[in-house]
Amino acid sequence: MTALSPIGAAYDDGLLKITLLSDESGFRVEGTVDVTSRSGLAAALSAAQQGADIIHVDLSGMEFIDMEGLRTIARAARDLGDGRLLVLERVPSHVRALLRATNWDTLPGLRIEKGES
Amino acid sequence: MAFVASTSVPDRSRFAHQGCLYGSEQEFLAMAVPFIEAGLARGEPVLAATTSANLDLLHSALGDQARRLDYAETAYFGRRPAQRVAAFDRYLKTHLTSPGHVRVIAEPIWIGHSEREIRAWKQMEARLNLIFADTRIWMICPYDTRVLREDILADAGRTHPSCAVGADTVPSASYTDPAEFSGGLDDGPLPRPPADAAALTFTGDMALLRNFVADAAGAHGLTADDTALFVVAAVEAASYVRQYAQAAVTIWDRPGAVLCDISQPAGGLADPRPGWRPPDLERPRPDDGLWLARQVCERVETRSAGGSCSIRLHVPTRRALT
Repeated sequence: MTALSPIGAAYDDGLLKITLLSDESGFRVEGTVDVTSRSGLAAALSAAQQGADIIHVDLSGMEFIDMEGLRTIARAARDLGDGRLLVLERVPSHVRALLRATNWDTLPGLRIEKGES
Repeated sequence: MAFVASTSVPDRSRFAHQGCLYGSEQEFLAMAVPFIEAGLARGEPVLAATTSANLDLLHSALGDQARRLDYAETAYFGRRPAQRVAAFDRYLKTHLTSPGHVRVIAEPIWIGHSEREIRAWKQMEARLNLIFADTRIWMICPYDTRVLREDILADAGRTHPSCAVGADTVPSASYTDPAEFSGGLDDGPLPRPPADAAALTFTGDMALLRNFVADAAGAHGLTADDTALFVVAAVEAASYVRQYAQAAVTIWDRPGAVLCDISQPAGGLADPRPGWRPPDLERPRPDDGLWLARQVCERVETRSAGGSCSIRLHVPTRRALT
């Protein structure tokens, strides 16, 4: 399995912070995904797409995400293609409700783990 | 006026939306059983969202085939019109690779609703013709003539281009343009927010807006999760209105709900009823954020008149959930 590029995945603009998971299987997202910080999330997802088949994203520290942020996540899952998965872990219940509201949680490339943060 | 009944299957590249007035168990089954059997025989997904009494009838009448029928108790298949649209979209999205039509029997619930809710459900029935126009959903909406009011039965003809009678299709003579029908049922102007409502002028500072909404929602007793969703709804509504100019944001409460008003005194909404179409992953639309707001709020009202516009969000406070 290929490790994520630390250069591509790490991000911190004061609003949104993205750090690699210690086992390099994915990354952790903390803070706010809005119009100003969305590009940071998109870059991390894009870097992760170059790596392992299964990408783990820990959302336990996500405080806010808007419609276009949700689209960024859904498109990343869609772009993974056959047999690959974007796995969202420790998803706060408000983020879970938002993902469900878009119906994009039905995408085959997206898995939302049951346990809450 | 003479109608030509036909038994042909609708074009699968277009939404087919039919009403069905039934006055007995036999009449319900005469429509539902052939519709379901034909779908199952073609390998198409078939969903029946109807009353528990009708579900029992179907499960008995269909025998072993009933095992392949998706079903829902209709009262819980989208509690409000916006969630109902989402439920249909969800069923469609989970059957992207299936052949033919996606068949749905969808019986709206009318008994016990307030007059405002009845208008909202009628408007949804009309709006479905626009929302799902380009989909391969074939939907039949049963209306029970034994229990429903005359106006509800009459409007079934106005909101469905055709009606199912047994296995036949009959064009609906009273079918009305959906926008025209919906517009005729619009509620009046929104009451003004109270003078002591918390107020903010939003000029584009997202962090300021998020904090303002979160503080006000918390002060009115919303839980942390409900507050987080309320903030998203308010941000999406304010971003939508803000396309035109700065917006006035006010928050107040009344028994059972916290309300947030986002208004713009110098600009109308391009689309008078934004946020009803399920978001498309490939093609973002300006009102996608309002779809999200409609899903997470109890109710979203939009008004656009005389060069000004308002969006009003309602979030329940003390509703008990199971």
